[in-house]
Amino acid sequence: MSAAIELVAVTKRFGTRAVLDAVDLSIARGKTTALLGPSGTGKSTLLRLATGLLAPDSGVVRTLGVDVFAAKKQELFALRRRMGMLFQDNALFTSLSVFDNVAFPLRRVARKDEASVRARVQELLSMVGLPDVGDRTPDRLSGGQRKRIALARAIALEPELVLFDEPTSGLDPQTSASIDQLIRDAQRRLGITFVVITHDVQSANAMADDVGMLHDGKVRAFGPREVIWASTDPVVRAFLDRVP
Amino acid sequence: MTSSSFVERALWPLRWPLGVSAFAVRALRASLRGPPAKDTLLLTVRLLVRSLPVVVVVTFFSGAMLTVQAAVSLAGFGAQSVTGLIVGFGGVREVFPLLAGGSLAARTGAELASQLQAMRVTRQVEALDMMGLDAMQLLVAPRVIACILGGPVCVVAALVAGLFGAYAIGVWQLGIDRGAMWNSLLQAVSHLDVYIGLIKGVVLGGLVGVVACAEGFMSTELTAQSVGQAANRAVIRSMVVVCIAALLLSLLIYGHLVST
Repeated sequence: MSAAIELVAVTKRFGTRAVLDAVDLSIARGKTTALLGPSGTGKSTLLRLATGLLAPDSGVVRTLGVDVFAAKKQELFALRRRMGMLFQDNALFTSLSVFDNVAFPLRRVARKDEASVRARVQELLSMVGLPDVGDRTPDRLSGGQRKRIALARAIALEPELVLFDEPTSGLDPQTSASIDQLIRDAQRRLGITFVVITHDVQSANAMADDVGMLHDGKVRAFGPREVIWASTDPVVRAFLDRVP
Repeated sequence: MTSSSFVERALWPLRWPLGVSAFAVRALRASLRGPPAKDTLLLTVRLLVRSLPVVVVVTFFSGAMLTVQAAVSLAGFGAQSVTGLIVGFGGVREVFPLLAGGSLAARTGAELASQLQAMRVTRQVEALDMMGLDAMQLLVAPRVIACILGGPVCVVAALVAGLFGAYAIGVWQLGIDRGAMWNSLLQAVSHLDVYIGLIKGVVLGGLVGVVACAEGFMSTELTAQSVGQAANRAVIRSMVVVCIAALLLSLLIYGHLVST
């Protein structure tokens, strides 16, 4: 089976600065992989390349076996329907209720009947621990609750791959820990591929099977979490040990 | 200066019109794919609820002002009784539809641009992309169609309010005979003028919709500040486009009458 995400010699520049510089990377299916690194090292760029929201300057990006930039528009849309994404600021539809947010992909993409939509939304809200907030609007939820709703929406269509962009950014340590736990539990329950972009070392430690570290536009280290945590590479160590 | 930067500078004034034209083609294609009917209906109702009061107030007072000026000008010739004729021609054919388009640009144009830009800033548009949905079809097409549907309604409301404003000031303030005022106003308005007004409403409404949505969708800057900037640009640019389009429509429709 092909990798969930595969980058071959991918370079992406913004102006003269190469955010990703001839990056090779292969992320396995069925696991949670955390991509760590300081701000501005191309983590979010990598995620956007994998979804086709951004085009590379050179190289090949394959997601779920599909060459993202050789795909036609309809093929790209079909690929994206096999994926879910939790955005850094959640990207919930502010004009809709929580229920309608989670129901949105079920109604508009899967075109399920209303009874199935109701049952599935209730199941998802219960799964993320918020069964009673369906009639609220997103602006009446806390940051942690919004993350949970965004996760419910991201997995509503039972995707093969879910991408998380800084899922614990801006949350207090306790809420962050509960989101880490939720992501870990959801991955175990669903058995699908989760790719988490984060600069939060504790979160990565709590949820990841594999860990990659980006530094200066390159993948500095990649492997099982235990191996990366035992790394003697000074750059990796400095980041993990929070050495200024 | 390199040749490419020279070409870029030379084409700079055309960048915006070309960009909006390309956006209009995309919006048209998205509209033909069938936007969500319920959203389109709700947006049309919202547009009318929000824009009609502005249109009515603006055109009522404009009709009244036109009447004052016409009455003053005609008083010297003792022809105050045909005041309505002047207001009817100028107002119904040109001023009221133009003001309806301008009011739509100010009220709805700003709202559409800020809505779409805010959705882009908060990544809601990207979320649609990530669901494999076409944001042009779901967000832009219903808004443009709402403007196309709402434009003619606004023009009709503008004609009625403008004529009523003219009648009110003429009869109650300037003392023009009721029958003379009413007859001269109606004499100036033919069915054809109303149909032309409806066509103008469709064109001007469509242009406001396209320009406003383009301003909310084309900006590369995604900051909180950019939401206000998009709304501001949408109002200014759609008003300019409405004025140019109104003139071109007038030349196209009435221009030949000058030469004959």
